Amino acid sequence: MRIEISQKFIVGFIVVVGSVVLLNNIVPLVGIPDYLQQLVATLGALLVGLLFGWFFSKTFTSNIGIITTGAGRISNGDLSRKIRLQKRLAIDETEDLANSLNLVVDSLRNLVGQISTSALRVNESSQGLSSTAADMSAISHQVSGTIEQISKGAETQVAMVDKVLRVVKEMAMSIELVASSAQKLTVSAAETTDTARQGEAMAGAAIVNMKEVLEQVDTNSTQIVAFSEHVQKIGSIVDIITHIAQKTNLLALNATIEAARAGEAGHGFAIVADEISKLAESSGASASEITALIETTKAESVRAQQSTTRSLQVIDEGRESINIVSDAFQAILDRAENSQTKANSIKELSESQIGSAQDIVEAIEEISRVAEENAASSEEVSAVTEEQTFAMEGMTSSSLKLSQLADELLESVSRFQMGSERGSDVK
Amino acid sequence: MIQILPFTMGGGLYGLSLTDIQEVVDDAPIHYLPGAPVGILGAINLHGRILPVVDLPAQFGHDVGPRAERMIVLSNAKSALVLAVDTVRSVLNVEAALAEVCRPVADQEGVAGLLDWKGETIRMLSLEVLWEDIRHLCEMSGG
Repeated sequence: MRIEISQKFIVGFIVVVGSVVLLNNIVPLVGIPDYLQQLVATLGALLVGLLFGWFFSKTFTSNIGIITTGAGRISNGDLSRKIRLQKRLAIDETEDLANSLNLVVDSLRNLVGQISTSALRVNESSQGLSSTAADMSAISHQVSGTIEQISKGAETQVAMVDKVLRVVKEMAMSIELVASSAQKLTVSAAETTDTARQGEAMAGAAIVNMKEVLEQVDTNSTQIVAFSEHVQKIGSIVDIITHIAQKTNLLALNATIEAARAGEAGHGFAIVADEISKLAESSGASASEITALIETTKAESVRAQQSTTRSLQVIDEGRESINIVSDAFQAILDRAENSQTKANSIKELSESQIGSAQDIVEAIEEISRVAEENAASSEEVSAVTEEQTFAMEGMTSSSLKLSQLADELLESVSRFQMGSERGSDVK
Repeated sequence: MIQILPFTMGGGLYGLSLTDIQEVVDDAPIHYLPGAPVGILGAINLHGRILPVVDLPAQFGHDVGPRAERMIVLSNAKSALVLAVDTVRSVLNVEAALAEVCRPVADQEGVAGLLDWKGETIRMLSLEVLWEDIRHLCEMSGG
């Protein structure tokens, strides 16, 4: 039978008030002095009040104490036992409260079990996450270092490419200089070729002239020899004349002597002999002069012959020299033509090189741009990677915190004593 | 006026009157005479006559040396003599008075006197003196 507590209180109050009224009516009837009646009635009313009060309060407080004890257990985390009230005839709200608390315990048990399981899983997961994040952090550190190296490498590359660009530009300028030099060389070689041709022609003409001179000198030499022989002949003739003059002179002397021996008769003869002697002396003097002239002429012709011999030697040497010069000019000509050909090919090559060098310059400038972009990009990547590293570290610490939180949760949950019975009956 | 033929021998200048000379020859070969005295070079064949050739400087003990092949043939009635000389000059026409004033000299080596002529001194030979001297020498040497 279910009686509400409020109804119980009402019944109690009604009983107390009724007992007071009853007492007030009963006491005068019992014979108690008047002055005591009031007192007894009051005492009786108090007594009744005390009895009911004690009864009710005991009834209430016993259940409420059980519930309080159970609630205290729950609050201490002991979910192993359910609240069991004493069996009463009149079931009131405490029974509901106890049932509700038992439902709460069941719910808590389920909840705590689920929380515990979930916290364990979270703990495991967060530990895995933490180690993964640590790994990722390390990897991202490595990536960061690598990218910094790449960045430095890219900067170095940019610097190197700049250097290469300078060098290639200088090379291009050098090639242009080479091309212009080759141009000049071609012109010079052509001039050299012309000059060498002229020189060769002149050397040929000189050889022809030299041959003519040689023939002339040969003729002169022959003529000088012939002349010398003629002069020798004249000398011998003059010797004869000299001898004749001496003989004539002697004859004239002897004639003069004969004339002197003849005395006056030989006077005219003496004059003639004297004249003959004078003529002979004159002839002798002339012959001497001729002899002197012949000697001079001989010396001159000997000198002329020596000069001719020297001239012939000199001309021979000159001819050899001119032959050498001619050969040299031929060699110069060959080399100059060779030089011209080579200079032409150098010119063509260097002209094509100029184009190639320009292409190279453009390509290297493109490379330089790309390398600069690479450097910039790798710096950006480096920055991003560092951020990522920070994030990873944050993630690592967060997962560690999460793990700690899960641990704390488990610890918190472990306060609850689950016991073995679950969802058992409520008495 | 007399005519003088100047000539040199042994470095000295001598002279002879043309009247004392028979002929001047220059190409007669001299034949060597064995045993002849120092002053006799040899002999020549002149127009079939064998004549002795005298080297006067050698004869008088001066300058023994080769003479040129010019020879003066002296004219002498007794015996012809040939003088070997170096050179013969042109005939000089000298005034007789000038010739007579030539300085006399001591009788010596055939020289009769000295004649000054145009800055030179000509030793005039005398055939008589020369002949006497040569004969004297020959007698002294036993020839």
